[in-house]
Amino acid sequence: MQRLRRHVRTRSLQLGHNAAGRTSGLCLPAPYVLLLPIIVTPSLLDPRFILLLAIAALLRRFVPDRWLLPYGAAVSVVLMGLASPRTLLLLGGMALLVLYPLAWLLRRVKARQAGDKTARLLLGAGVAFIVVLWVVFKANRSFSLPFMSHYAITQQFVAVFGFSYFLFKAINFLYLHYLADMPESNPLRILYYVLFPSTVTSGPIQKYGDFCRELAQARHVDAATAAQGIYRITKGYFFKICVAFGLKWASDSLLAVALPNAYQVMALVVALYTFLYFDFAGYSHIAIGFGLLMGVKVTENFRQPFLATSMTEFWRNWHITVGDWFRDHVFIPQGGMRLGGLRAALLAGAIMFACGLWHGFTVMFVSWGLWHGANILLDGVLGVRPMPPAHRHGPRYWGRVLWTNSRVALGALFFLPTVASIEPLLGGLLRWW
Amino acid sequence: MVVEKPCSVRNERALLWRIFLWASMVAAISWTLVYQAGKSDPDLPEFVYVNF
Repeated sequence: MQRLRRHVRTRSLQLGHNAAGRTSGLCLPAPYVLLLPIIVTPSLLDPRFILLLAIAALLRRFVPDRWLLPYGAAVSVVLMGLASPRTLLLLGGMALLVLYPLAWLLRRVKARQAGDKTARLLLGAGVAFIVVLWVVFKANRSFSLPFMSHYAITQQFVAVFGFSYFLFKAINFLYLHYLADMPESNPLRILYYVLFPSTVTSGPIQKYGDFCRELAQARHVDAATAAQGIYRITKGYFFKICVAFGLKWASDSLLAVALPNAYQVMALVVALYTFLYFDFAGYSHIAIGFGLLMGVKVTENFRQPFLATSMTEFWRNWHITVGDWFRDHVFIPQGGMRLGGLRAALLAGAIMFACGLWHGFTVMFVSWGLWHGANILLDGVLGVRPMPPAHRHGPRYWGRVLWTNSRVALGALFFLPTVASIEPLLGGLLRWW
Repeated sequence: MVVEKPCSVRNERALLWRIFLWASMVAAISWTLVYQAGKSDPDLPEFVYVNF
């Protein structure tokens, strides 16, 4: 047992939950320890996980067409089982014991006359249950920023992977069954959807309808698709290992300056902003590439966000799948653009606040959400709209691009661990010479 | 006589360009990993967004 406990502690540090290497008295209950024969981490940076994914993609070539779905589901279950049986039990259990029965009930209720109210109640109860569970996990988990290796923002360690992303997938699944007349669900499909290995920990968030369409066209991967997948994977690792890593080094160096001047602060802001882009866009490229190798086209997550001319346009092109999710499940059902300019902007601002909470229950993330919400509201009040393609040239266009990116880049400061780490930077902005 | 269409020329160039880019990225990744592995205290990368 002692050796197991030591193994778990070592693994938790390897998972990056305590970047500073401070264990903060980590103590895990015995039954949990027994559930943790971790062999891989479901991270696209773990060479063993990458190798297993590549082997699974290669073996897929020899699987008959009608067995592709069971094969995909089995691969997902085995990989998550090797990484975190606790996550497998939680997400798999939620998929089979909550989502599947609720979808079945929603179909039955909707088939009855005047079943709309009951269906709405069922949807509300299902969503509330998942959100409450998410709040519990979120409130009790740790979060660390790797480029802040000299800071620690570690609370309690809860080893569940990707529950924040599961939240979006699960609500999308239920909402789709509430809105549309869905055919009978296959439990294996739900399991595969929830545990799809390349996106399970960090997205992109595939909508259930899109995922089913991909599975319906399940096919063996041809040479062109495989080449595209390998190219995307390489591009992702290049972004992450070379570009983001260099920017991390630059951020660390600039943060280490005791009394930074305005130029150093601006360089830091740019380094943090671009680091976040290359880190997450890199991850998305890898996830999409492995998805292609597994025969599933995963939704794109970034589309030239640096060329956005307004905050709303930025959010249509940065972490696209989260923006789309909030648009489809919150913004449009709550009235959307039909509310009129200012009220729609207020709603969008409130959504950004919720997005901040989704990132984490910390002052910094909530402030980050409020910052973006306030800027969307400001654009709404000023009537700022994305510029049409025909006007995208000249100083006015580049001025708008610069103005939008400056605000987003300043927001990246909220990814620093504490308010105290921002204070010297604000002072530095006053030191121009 | 086979007349090569302009688009196929473009495709071939695009393919060659992609192969060049891919090879350059592989070289850069390999160099970074070898460089990190050679350090006494290697600084291994992690993803910010993993395990949110």
